[in-house]
Amino acid sequence: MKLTYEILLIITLISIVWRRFFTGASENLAKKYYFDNSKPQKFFFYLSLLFFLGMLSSSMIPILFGAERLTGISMIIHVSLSPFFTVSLAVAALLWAELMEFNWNDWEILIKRKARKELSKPSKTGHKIRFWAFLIMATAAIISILISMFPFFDTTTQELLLNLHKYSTLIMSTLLVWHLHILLIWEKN
Amino acid sequence: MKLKNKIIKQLFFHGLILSIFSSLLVAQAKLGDSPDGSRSPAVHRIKLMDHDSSVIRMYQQTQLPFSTEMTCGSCHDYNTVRSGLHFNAGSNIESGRNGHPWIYTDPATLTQIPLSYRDWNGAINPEEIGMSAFDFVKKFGRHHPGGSVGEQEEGLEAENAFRWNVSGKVEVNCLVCHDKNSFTDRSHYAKQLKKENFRWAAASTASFTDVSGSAKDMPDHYDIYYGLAPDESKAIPPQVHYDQTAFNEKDEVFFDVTRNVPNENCYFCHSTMVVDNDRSEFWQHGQDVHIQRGMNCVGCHRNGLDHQIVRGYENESVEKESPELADFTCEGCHSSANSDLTISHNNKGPIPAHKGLPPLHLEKLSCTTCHSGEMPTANSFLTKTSMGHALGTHGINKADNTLPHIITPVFEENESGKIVPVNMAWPSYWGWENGDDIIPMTKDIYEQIVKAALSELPINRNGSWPKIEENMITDILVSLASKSSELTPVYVSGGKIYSIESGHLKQEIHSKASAYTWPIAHIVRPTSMALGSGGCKDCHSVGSPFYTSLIIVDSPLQTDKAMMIDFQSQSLLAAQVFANAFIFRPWLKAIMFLSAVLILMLLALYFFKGLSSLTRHLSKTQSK
Repeated sequence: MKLTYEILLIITLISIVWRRFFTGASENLAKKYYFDNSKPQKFFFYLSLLFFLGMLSSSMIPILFGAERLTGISMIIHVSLSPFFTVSLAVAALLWAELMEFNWNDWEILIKRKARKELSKPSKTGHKIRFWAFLIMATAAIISILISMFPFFDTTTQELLLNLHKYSTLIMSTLLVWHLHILLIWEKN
Repeated sequence: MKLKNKIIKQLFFHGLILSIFSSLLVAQAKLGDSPDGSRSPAVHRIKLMDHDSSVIRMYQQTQLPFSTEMTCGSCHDYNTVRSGLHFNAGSNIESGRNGHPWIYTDPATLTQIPLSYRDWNGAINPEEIGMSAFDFVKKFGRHHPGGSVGEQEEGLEAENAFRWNVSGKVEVNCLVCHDKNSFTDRSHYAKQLKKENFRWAAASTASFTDVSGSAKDMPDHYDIYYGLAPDESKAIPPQVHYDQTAFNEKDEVFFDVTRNVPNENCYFCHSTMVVDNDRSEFWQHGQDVHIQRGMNCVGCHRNGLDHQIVRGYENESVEKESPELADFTCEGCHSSANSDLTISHNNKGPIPAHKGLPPLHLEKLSCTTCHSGEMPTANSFLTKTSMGHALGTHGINKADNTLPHIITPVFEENESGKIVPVNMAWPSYWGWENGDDIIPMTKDIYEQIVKAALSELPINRNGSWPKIEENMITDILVSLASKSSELTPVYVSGGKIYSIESGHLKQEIHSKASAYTWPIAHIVRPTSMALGSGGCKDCHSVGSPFYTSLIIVDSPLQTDKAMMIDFQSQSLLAAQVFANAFIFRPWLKAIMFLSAVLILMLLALYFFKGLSSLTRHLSKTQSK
């Protein structure tokens, strides 16, 4: 788990540094694309992102620094942010779902594999895939930790649920890094 | 031909000598050392032998006490037995984790010192306080089954050579554990050791003996064979009388001994009783769940001929490099992970589900934290133990507050970062400050000075600390300063050291003044009485004793109480904040549940929408 976190962190850092210093991408790109827009969709997207990053850092940082388990203050921060994250994510999902609905154009892009040139253009299809994948993983992460709070399962299953929570969060993080990376490419183009 | 015969004869002769010599060198297993596999107990109708290996016969005039080394040792390898865990307490061989120390107490000199010859963290070697092996046996032998300090040659120090000669050695007392005869009186053993009747002590416990007299009253030149000259003393020399009816015509007696030591025999040294005003009656105190379910102490605490009894703690198998010992830990019996037991002990316990318990708890807490000892309450308890308070012997002070003060339960973080329940004894003693080190003072240096300084104080009949003021400590330390020109006298107590600086009493926290602690293993409580059986709030609530129980910082001086969390590396603030979070936990669950349901519904909705779109598309394609 620690190694996976480390790899993810390194990829993220390389991605950011590369985009920032070697392609001249601005850190304000997201602002241009999203934050200037006052639509509730954008607001809840960023709110969820903020809480997610807070939860991610509160859980990843102690483990990167050698902790085997999440305990103490980090755990308190992590748990305290969780209801805010889940609510903002649910609202964001509600607001974005219509926009992120797949259509036949997405199907054609994915299945029929149009010209390579066309694929490299900014496309919402990938965005949609990441959106729904993120939601599926978030559901797995929320439900796995939620049911572990009830006295339903024994130690072995608890451990399994905890691992499910960790790995689904890792996939969520990967999707997020991927998504931010794509946003940076959009900015460059 | 003659030469050939000569060579053959020489070879035969040398071979014979060699075989005799080698048979002497190679130890033969004795009769009782190699069991034949029968589970039926061996009947011990045997001849008694004294320490000169002479059989004790009823027609003899002078009768010596039987020697366990000679009597039991004729069928069991005595040297192997005496290397065992209990008997080697006089050495630091395989000390293992901290155990119950011997606690020297003297309220008149304000001392309470955890002692051990073992290399236990925080315990002081009796030699450091000037306690001879002879005095140690007299004081603490009551709850030690002999051997070791009372028997090893190096223990028979020159200063007490004559007294050892009169008293004899304290042999391993096989009967104190193995004799299941109801007439066996272990308190007699304690009584004889007090009277310095070391040689007679083991024999005194037997049902067919009566020991009288006292070696303590005998002069240094007393000889057990010749006795006293008629004009020497009116004191009664130590002597043993045997019940003749116990002997048969072959001078054999019957010992009702068993390999499977009954629990009651273990209790003589291993009893504990918590001092709790709400449980003033003995019957109100609990019993270990394993014993209640019909198990025996020796069911888990097993041993072979070497008497290396399994202690059963977590790292014992690693420390002793014996993987099979892991089978006799809590986890060995109660964990599904340890299903490949190497020892067949037929008592694989129920595997706990620990439903709803986050796995972190099993990593950060030992099994005993939730299941053993007293449940933590707002205030810690004092507890009495056989070893500490001489329980089960005659003439003890039964007052609740009598020294030593053993505090229980304390949840302490051990070296491996696990929180374990421990008993605690705060050392109080006079010492010399030598740089960062504190060297305990020997009794002869401080005793007179301290007693003189405190002579005006009323006698405390409950055996607890007298009420003293700091100025008394100042006076004593000033007086002690005259005893050494190089070292500074200090008083160690309540986690601090007290010394004189510029004429004033200075106190500072010092590592050498830290409490001696040893893990609690029993009594084990059942699941329904475990910590956490009442839910998370048993520990994760603002006023939970798990963190906030007040721990006595024992000292004759006024001290503030410590808090349970002081003995852990956790922060009280973090624990309290986390505990407060549990107030909102139902809300958290509800919010997370509703959010998850909403997202799930969205996923389901768009999944079905997609499915609907797909079916429409397929029907359109078909119609074209």
